[in-house]
Parts: sequence; structure tokens; C-alpha cells
Amino acid sequence: MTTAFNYLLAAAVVLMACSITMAASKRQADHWVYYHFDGKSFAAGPAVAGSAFLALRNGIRPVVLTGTVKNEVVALPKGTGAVAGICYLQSSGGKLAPGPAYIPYPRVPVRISSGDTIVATTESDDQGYFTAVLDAGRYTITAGPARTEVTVEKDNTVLVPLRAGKRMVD
Amino acid sequence: MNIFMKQLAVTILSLLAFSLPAFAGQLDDYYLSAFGAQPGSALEKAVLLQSTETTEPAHCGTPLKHALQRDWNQLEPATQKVLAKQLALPTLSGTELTYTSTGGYFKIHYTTSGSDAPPLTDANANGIPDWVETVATTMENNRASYISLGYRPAPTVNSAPYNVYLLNLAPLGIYGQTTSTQAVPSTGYANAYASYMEIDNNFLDSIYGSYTPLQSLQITTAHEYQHAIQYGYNLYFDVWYAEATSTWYEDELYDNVNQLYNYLPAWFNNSTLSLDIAVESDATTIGAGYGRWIFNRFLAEQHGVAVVRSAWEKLATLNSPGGINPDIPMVPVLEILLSSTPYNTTLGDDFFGLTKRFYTRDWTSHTSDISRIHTYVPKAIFNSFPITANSLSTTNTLPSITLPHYSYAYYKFVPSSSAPSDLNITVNGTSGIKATAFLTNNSGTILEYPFASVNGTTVSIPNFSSSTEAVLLVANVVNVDGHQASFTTNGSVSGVTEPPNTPASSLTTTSSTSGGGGGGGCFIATAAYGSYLHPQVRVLRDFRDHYLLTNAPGRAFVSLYYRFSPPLADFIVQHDMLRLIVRLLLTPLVYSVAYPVTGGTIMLVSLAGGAIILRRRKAIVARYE
Repeated sequence: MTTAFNYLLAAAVVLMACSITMAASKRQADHWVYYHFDGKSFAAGPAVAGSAFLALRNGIRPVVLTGTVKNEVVALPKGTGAVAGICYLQSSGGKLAPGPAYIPYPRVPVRISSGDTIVATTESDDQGYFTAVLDAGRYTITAGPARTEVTVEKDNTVLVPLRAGKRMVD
Repeated sequence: MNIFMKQLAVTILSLLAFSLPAFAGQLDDYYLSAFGAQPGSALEKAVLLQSTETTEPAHCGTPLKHALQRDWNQLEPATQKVLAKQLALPTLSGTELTYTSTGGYFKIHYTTSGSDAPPLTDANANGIPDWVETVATTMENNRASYISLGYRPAPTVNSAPYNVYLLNLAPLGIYGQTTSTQAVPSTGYANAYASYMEIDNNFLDSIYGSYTPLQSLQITTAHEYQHAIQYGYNLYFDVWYAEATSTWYEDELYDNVNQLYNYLPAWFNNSTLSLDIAVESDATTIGAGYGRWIFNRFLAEQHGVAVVRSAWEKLATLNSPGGINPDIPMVPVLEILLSSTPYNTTLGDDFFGLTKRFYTRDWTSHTSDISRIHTYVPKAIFNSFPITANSLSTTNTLPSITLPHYSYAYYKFVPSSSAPSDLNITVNGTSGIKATAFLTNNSGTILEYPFASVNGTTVSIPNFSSSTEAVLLVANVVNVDGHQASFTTNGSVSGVTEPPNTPASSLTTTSSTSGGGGGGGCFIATAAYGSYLHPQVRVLRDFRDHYLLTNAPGRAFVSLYYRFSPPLADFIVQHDMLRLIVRLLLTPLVYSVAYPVTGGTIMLVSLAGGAIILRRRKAIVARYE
């Protein structure tokens, strides 16, 4: 009887440890986190004034912002996650003056597929950003010559920069 | 109670063992902090997934009006809606007019009103501004020149005329720019892209300097059309070499303009930056890209002008490596090209030859313009002798240097009252270093004193005290950063440290900076096994991606270890014994993952054996109690 009790106790310890771990990982964020595109990848923090950036929060649809105004809170549907990203034109060079390292690429079709099946299509907005809500799983995202593999997790947002074109200045 | 403690210990050990797979995960906090993220944001799991772009054939909806017109009826309504709002081609300040060049290869887009209007003089009264006709003719000439040099012209969609837009670019400080549009693959050119060009509408603004508008037009269109050709060879070209090539061709097509010489001093003043330093906002300040045109001149003098085209033809056969920068690094391409027939040399030898020529100035082409090439710039000047390992130059520089890949430094020795008659220079360098010395005598003759090796080797330069100057050239002639060189003139040898033999770039490199699966780092396993590429680490990484990140408990474990693994890994990597222990702990896990059937069988047998032993022990204990 004592042995059985101890086995049960050990099982309870294991379950408790797993539960704590899972609960910690699923903890609802109590604040928004901002990311901006720096020309190569996404960096934490809002962009300089006037430029768009992304606001992310666990379990909430990602939001494209141009200022730290009050964000619209729309919960992600159960069992889904999201992708958010930017389509951009990489700009290089400049004999006389340095220019921007990238230019947002608006209205670019973004195709999201799983295996050979296209599961969603969207397009970048006027600031080059796009978002999409997807079931948890593995996807291929393409925009022009850019192609990226992502894993979408429930309640999470994956950030994706897509170089959809290239510009040589001077 | 004793039994309970044992079982608790077994439980904790089991927990540890079962949690080991999570060590393969990547830490959000760690990754975000690299970007300056606020702490505590990791568990929000806004996973920063760096792009793993790879090549994809043409299927993008592009903003091209022609493509839109061509394909419109074949498109789905939803796609039409998207394409209708595509990034617009340049919009002119007035009504857009077009003029097709006499050869039919170029369509010049212009307007006659607003700030974008070119000079409207129409001397031949044919209704087309003369400047527009000049642009068209110049473009045709450029195309013919490039074809005569063996290039295939810039591709266009359905072989339509190439589009050139005349805009007022002076306020932007731009001569011209060329932008990729859509894929136009063909046999041998799988990554070919079409493009369009924008150039200033008149080149009259003072920012264009003392060059005539025609000269600015010539070099700008020669430069930009070369970019258009480059897009047609491979979209994924390396920007530094694209600029080096376009700038070099400015002078090959229009030898009398000579603007390109202005970009050399920036490189000479920053000679310790790599040949392929990125073209970013400070490009003309440090000589990136544009200043590297002279590398092509050297190659052309050594191997014939076709060598540059061969480099682009070689590039055309390659695919994008993917990753956050999907462009194909050009240095490895050049290394392969130059080491093959008919060149049979090395990029290192050619780079060293180029840097020597910066001093000797014995160029064999464009000889009337040699005076336009800026003189070499020494990294440091020494005028006090002897020079020891601790001597300082006139600018307080030590006689030693660490050089990134394909970079160089000159050191100048000025005869002074302390100068020896013969200067004995001892050079010690790591394996990627080459060195040579020059003496310029009073009659201006340059004599070279090469170092056969740099292993504490001494070279004697006679009659130094009566010369104008002596110089030492040291160059990193391999694609590995961190090679070191030191020198003295008293015969002593300064120590140098061989850098890790890790190429600065390679044709097989792919991004390893993704997160949330799909190629992220396994910090602890990497620390234990010593390499991210270690087969055991790869096994764990695959296990994480395919079995942990696909279910909630697995992701929970990965998330947990996102928090803890980097500091642990940092600690482990510094302790060899700990690395061994971690490897031992990981071994059964790796084995189980790699061979699940065998591993599972062994585990079941072990558990059964353990249970039997435990029961027997308990029976014995019970008998004695």
C-alpha cells in the first residue's frame, strides 16, 4: 500500500512539474510588444515616428501600427496562431547620398501554403506589412522571389521579413 | 520513507532526462535581447523568425503594367484585384509620353510638364525632345557595347522594349536606379529577372558636379544598364561586386569621363576593410562597392577583360543560399573562377597583386589616366629606428595588425637620423598573410623585396638611409578573418595567433538564425558537442522540430529551456569536464531519437529489469523485517 502511494506521489510530482512548465509557457502576456523592421530583420521596439511597426500580444491578432495608440484587441480564434511580416524592396548604393536600406513594398500578393495546398492569400498593405491568422502548423510563405518556411504555434505570432525585390541606386 | 526518497530521486532524474530534448530549443529572451528587447518578453513567443528565403521561379504578381496587361485575362478575379493595386511604376509629374529608340530596344518614358520634364528643345522638329532622343541613342549604344563585350542584353518580359523613366532625381541625390520586377527565367539563367530604370531627367543640377549632362547621362546609363544586365544573369548577385562591375564599365564604355577615380581614396584610406565590405549608407565614405572597381581593372589587365563577364556567367549558374541575406557571396565565386582554367591562379594571388600595384602603379591599361589613381595610403609611418614590437608609429600605432579577409595595410618607413643603412624587416604572420617590401630610391625607381614566407622571416633592404622611403605591404589573402602580422627591424619576432579557419563566406552557407524551430540553435547540445553542425546536435534539432514543436507539452519544454539554456550553455562551454558529462547525459537521448525502436526496446528491458531487481530487493527486505 505504501509502495503504491509513493508511486502515486511520484506521478503527482511529475504532473505538477509539467503543469507548472506548461502554465508558465502559456502565461498570458499583460502587455503589447512592439517590433519594427530595420532593413534586414525585425528588431524589438516601435519604429521611428511615422513608420509602421507591429504590435504583438499572446493570443491576440497582431496589429500594424504607426503610433502607440490604443491597440485593437481581437483574440485569435481557438487553436490558431498568426504570421505577420513585411514585404520590402532592398535598396543598395548611392553615390551622392545614402538612401534608405529598404523600401516597403505595398500591394504584393503573399501566398501561404501547406505542402502543395495554398491555404491563404493576402497582400501587403500600403506600408508593406501583412498579417494572417492560421491554424497551428508548418507553412511556406512566398512573395515574389522570397520564400520562407515558418512554424505557426497556437496563440503565437511569427514575424517574417520577405525581400520581394531589389533596387540598385546609382 | 527511504524508498520514497529513492523514488523521488528517480523521478527527478527522469524529469531531467526527459527534459533534455528541450535543450535543443532556442531561447526567445536570448534572441530578443540581441535585438534590444525588453526582458520578460520571451514567453510571449513573438518568435523572431529570420527569413530563410530560397529561390522561387516566376509566379509573383509584379507591379509591371506590361505584365499586368499581358496576363490580365488569365488571372483570377482576386488576383486581378491584388495586381491592380501593385506597387506602381514611376509616376511622372505630367502626362506620360513614350518614345521608342530607333533600334526598338528601349522605351523612354517622359513628360513635358512639371518637375520631371527633360529639356524640351526639339531642334529637328520631329515632336520628340532632343534630350529624349539622346537618352534613347545612348541606351542603344550601351546595349551594343555590352553585346560586343559578350554580354546578353537585359531581359524583358516577352522581349518588350526596356523601360527607362526620366525623373527629377536630383532632390533625392540620385543619378539613377534600377529595380527588379519579375522573374524571366531561361535556359542557363534560372534566376534571371527583368527590371526597369530611372535616371535623372536632365543632369543639370549642381549635385552632379562639373560633368556635362551628356557625360553624366553616359556613365549613369552605362552603370545602370549593367545592373539591368546583372539582374538578367542572377537576381541574387552580391551588391558589392555589382557596383564594382557597373562602375568599372563606366570607364570601359566612356573613357573620357573619369568620375570613377573619385571613389578610390575612400578605399585606400580604409584598406583594412575587406574587398567585399557591404555596400551600405557609408559606401562612398569607405570605398565599398564603387571603389572596388579597380579590382576589375586589375583582373582585366591580368586575365583579359572577359574575366569579369566570366564571373557573371559563373554566378548565373548558381542558386540562392537562402537565409536572411539570400544573395550569393561573390568572393567564393571569384575564388572558384580564378582557380580554374584558363586563369589557374587564386583570388589571393590576384588580390595581393592588386595591392602591390597600388604602390608600383605599373598599370598596363588606361595608361594616360594612371595619374588619376590616388597614391597608396600608409596605415602608419615609422621614422624612428630600430622598430621593436612595442615601437609606436608617428600616429601611435604598433607594428602589428589583425586583418579581415582580403584586406591589406601599408607601413611606411621614412629615413631619419636613426635609420640604419640597410633596413632589415622581420615579419611574422599567420597562414593567410602575404608580405612584400618596396624601396623607392632617390631617382624614383621602385625596387621590390618580397618575403618568401612570413614565419619570422627577415628581408634586408639595402641603402635605406639614402632612399626616399621604404614600405611594407601586408595583406590577408584568404577568405578568413583575423589573420595577424607583426614586424620589427631589430630581428625580434612578435607572436601572432592563428585564427579559426572559418570562411567569411561560402556558397553553401545558409542562415542559422531562425527561431521557433526550423533550424534554430541548440545551445546546450552545441556547447557540449562543440559545433552546431555536429551530427548529434542535428539529431536533436530534428527531434525538436518534428516531435517537440508539434505538440503542446513539447513546445512547453522548449519554451522552458528557451529561458535557461543560454546561460547554462555559456557555463558548460567553459568547462571541458562538464561538456563531457553533458555529452554522456545526452548520449542515450540521442541514441533513442536516432534509433527509436532499438532505444525503446533497451529502455523497456531496462525498466523491466529494474522493476524485477526492485521487487526482489523489497522481498528480501520484507523477509528480514
